[in-house]
Amino acid sequence: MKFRQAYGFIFSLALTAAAVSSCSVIADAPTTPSAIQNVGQYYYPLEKIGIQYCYLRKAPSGTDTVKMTMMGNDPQPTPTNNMACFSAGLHSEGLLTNSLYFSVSDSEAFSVGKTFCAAGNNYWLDLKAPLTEHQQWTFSTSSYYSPGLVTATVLHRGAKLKMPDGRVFDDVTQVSYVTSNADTTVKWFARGVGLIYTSSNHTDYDFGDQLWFINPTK
Amino acid sequence: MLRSMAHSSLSSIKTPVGLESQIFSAIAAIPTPQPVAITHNYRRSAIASLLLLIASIGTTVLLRSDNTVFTNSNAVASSATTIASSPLSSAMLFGGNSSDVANNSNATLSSNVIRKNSIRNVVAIDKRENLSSDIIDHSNERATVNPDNSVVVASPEFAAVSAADVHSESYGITRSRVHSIDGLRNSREDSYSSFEVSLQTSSGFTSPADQQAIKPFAEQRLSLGYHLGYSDVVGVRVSSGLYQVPGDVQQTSELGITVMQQDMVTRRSFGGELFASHQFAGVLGTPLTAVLTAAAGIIPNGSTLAAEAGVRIPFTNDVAFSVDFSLTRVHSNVERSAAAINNANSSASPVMYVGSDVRTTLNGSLHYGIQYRF
Repeated sequence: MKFRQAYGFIFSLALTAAAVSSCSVIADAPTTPSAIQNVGQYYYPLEKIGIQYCYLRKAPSGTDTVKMTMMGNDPQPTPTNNMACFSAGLHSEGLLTNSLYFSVSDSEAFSVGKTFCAAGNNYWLDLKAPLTEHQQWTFSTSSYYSPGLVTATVLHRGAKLKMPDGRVFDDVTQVSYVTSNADTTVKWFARGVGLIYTSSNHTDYDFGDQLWFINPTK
Repeated sequence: MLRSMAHSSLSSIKTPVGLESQIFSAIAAIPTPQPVAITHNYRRSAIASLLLLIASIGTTVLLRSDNTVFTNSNAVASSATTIASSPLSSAMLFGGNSSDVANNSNATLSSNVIRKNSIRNVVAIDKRENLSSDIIDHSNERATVNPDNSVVVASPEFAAVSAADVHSESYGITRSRVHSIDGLRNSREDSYSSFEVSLQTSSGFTSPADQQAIKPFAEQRLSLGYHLGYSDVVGVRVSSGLYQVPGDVQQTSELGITVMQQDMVTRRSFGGELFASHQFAGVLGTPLTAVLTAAAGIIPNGSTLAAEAGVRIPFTNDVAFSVDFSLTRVHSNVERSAAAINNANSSASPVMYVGSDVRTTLNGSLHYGIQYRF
């Protein structure tokens, strides 16, 4: 190869290499969220005793803040499938308004009921693996406010949600729950945090119409 | 390059009065040899032979300057050559492969009479013959006409340009044949293409992509190139292509929150590019020309960066079918989802951003079309 040809060839390669190396990435990775097999990472940190989540609650009666305090493993297992049960205290203005009971595994995360775990009076299957967009599952609830068959649908996976206080959650799963009488509740779960926002067209005694995550406190 | 240097050399040639006419009249008097078809095997054989010869005499090929070409550092007198016409001073061997000679004129011509370094053009003894000539390059040669009318050129510096090299670099096709030194001087315009223009379409793929990754006839582009030399081309392109870019943000309100949705869309856009190419003529002894290209350009609210490899398949001296495979990095300047969500106003209600966060894609395309040199 003659010198000038070699020079041109090397010049071309160098130009290309310089251009490519100046790019942080050749191409972005596809953004289709993968299916989540461990739904526990999108749920409350139930086993971390003492952690408090602070929520802004909006209800027809007014707006207030409630705190959910993780109280760890409950002595009693869940009534239906004998899973470990965890409790959390719900406080409003310093007063305990309810004890909520939850259970979580890699494949499922659900609320069990109120007052005590074995009561099983408020079963609600929040998350079910594999967690991916458009995935659906159904369950029957004995909730006092909206009993019946509920169809849950994952509306979005991997979304970003900016809260009114400016805090941004990067990996959010949005799930809608529609009862047989068309009552609709939508919940947003953030990875590593849990429930960050819920909105319903009927008023729940504990969660009101809307519940906004404010910040975790210890 | 060699051709350019040869022409530069020619411009400085001084010849005695009447010498030129003598040379070419002698050439015209030479019997017509049997035509020899120039095949690719011939070219390869010629190249191989010359390489072996050069290797055997232990030469080192150096490139000096624009008016200095291939010279031999070791003065070897073995390049004495008998040539077939008389007062040949210019150390050019016309005709096929070292022809027999005969003619007149006792003359001893030295390099200060005709000083050349290289003539790289197609030169033939006679317009009737089909021979592409070897040209032997001499710098300090002395040619002596023997009593038997043969001319012996003893050259301390020897280099040869093969028949394949003699052919025009543009598409590897033999170009003009000249019959006088003036012709050699004037043949520059004939052997040099300054510009090339090409029109191409393409089919390719994009990654990541929306639902349709393969885009047939995705792009049409018009390129205009300028030859910096015989192998290096720079130029501009305008194109109309399909690019996969972030679409417009759609905002809706549902269940107490604001939803911002932005998906990838396929959008046709005009673009412009600057490119630089390096061409390798006569690939594997064929008339094909291989081309490597680097390009950078802009599209609406974005940029492109491409590396290409292609080939030119000549139809004629000036027209070729061009095929290029390109890998193009297409970047959109649309703000990413993180910036979009940070800039959103969530004071009244939460804001959710959903959709693709792809801003940079890699496009692979096969471009094909026609190229014209002028």
